[in-house]
Amino acid sequence: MQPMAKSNPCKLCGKPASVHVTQIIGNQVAKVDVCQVCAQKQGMIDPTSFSLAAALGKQLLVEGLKMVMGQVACSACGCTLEQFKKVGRLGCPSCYGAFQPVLEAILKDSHSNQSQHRGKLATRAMAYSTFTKQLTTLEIELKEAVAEERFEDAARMRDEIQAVKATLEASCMVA
Amino acid sequence: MAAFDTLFKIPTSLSAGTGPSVPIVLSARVRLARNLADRPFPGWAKEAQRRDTLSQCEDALKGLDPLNGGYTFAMSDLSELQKQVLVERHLISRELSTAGEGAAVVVSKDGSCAVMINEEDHLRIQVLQGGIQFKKVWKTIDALDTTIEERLTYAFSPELGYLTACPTNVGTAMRASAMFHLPGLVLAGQMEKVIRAVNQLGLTVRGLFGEGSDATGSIFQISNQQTLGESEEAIMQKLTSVLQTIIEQEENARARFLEADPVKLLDKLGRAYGVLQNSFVLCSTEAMNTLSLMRLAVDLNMLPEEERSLIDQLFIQCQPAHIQFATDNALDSTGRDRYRADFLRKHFQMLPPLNFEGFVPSS
Ligand SMILES: [Zn+2]
Ligand SMILES: [Zn+2]
Repeated sequence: MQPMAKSNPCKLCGKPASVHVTQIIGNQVAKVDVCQVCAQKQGMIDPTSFSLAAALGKQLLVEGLKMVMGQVACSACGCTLEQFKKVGRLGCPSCYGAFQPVLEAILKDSHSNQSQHRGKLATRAMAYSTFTKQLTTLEIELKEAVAEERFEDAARMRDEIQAVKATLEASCMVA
Repeated sequence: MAAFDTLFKIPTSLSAGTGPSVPIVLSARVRLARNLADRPFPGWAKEAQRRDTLSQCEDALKGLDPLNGGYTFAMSDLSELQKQVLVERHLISRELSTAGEGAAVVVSKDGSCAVMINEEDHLRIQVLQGGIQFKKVWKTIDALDTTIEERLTYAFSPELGYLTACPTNVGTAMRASAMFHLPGLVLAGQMEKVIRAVNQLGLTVRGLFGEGSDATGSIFQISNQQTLGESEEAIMQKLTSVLQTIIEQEENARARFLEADPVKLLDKLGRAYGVLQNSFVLCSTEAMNTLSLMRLAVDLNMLPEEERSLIDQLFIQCQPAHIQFATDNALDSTGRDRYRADFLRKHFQMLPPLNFEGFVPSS
């Protein structure tokens, strides 16, 4: 988690914010900074009864949801939805995953309701993502094997990891 | 910069200078946006990342056909005027000309292929050819793109296709466009109707020199808008069939105009010829409009056939930055208008008079 900057303005009235709320809505992490007064008005102070979605649903349904979504940041590059909306450009390829719910609507709108690519395939890029996924899985399994002191399994996984890395390097996929 | 001077001397033309130049159709262009996996898009990247993207892309493009033996220009090495010349030749976008660190273009020897690096996307590959044979253009650009992908790992998703900085380009990330000369439809006041009909099919029409249905020089670009959910072939097929219809409409408009009011058309052509042969001050807009009418005169056999490709070259040579560069940056706007007039006067005074035979109605 990133430390909050002290000077963040309240999302509702613009005065310096002192309350920082983080909630998980669907599969998105939403962060909102508000001032003490607004937090009280919105019932944000009591964390047990407070729900961002519900609080925003009362008064600020449309604006509020936009605001909440605006706080979502891409974990790979740090670009937020707000910044994307300002310039119309995403920060990095991973943004497509991070902003998926919002992008879905934009994509359908600008591509006459189509959502599946039907053109040329980037074969190497697809192989690359298969290999990197494989590598991540193997590395997790290796850690587990080591933790459980299954040393023979661990040795086998190390070999497999080396093999996948070698394949990646041989095809110059690793910069 | 010696390399730039060499590039400047390559004949350049609105109809791409390759093959014979034909009526109505000027050129076909396909542009592909590509990005490298696992790194921020140029607009979000830090300077060091942009430099790294540049060096990776430059390495990957080295020795590739048709770029081999061509030119590489870093935007930071070019003057404002040189960048403007590249914009007028459609080798770079205005956006690249103002882009920061790491922005560059690699151009093939004949100027038919150009790859912009660190524009909106990491790579913007374009191939341009005279006529509207999209199949040929696609074959060239597809092969180049495939070879580049053997050297670089693209950002790609099986669902969304090629991932681009702007979500409106995702999918094929392809923009196919054709350039047209449509003076008949403009004179007949039908261009607005055509633009509306074409828009409804999901295609975009815009004037090359200025917006709207009365674009300067009657030169228009028509391109696909949608990139997701259709294959490259399907996009180009749709575009080609629309283009065939537009060609027919333009031919009909010309025929109807000649039948209904030949004197009005002949008078327009004759006056334009007079302006080009006798002017001493010509602004860029008037030059484009009169050149456009001369291209129409060639189509109607009033001027020799070979004049058409020369006119296509004059369109580019008369652009402000081209004149400014050709005269060593010595002129102000008034000076350019005089230079343009001199230049065109010398060319058109060498031509035979317009052949009105067969058009003049008996009175
Ligand atoms: Zn407040
Ligand atoms: Zn991102």
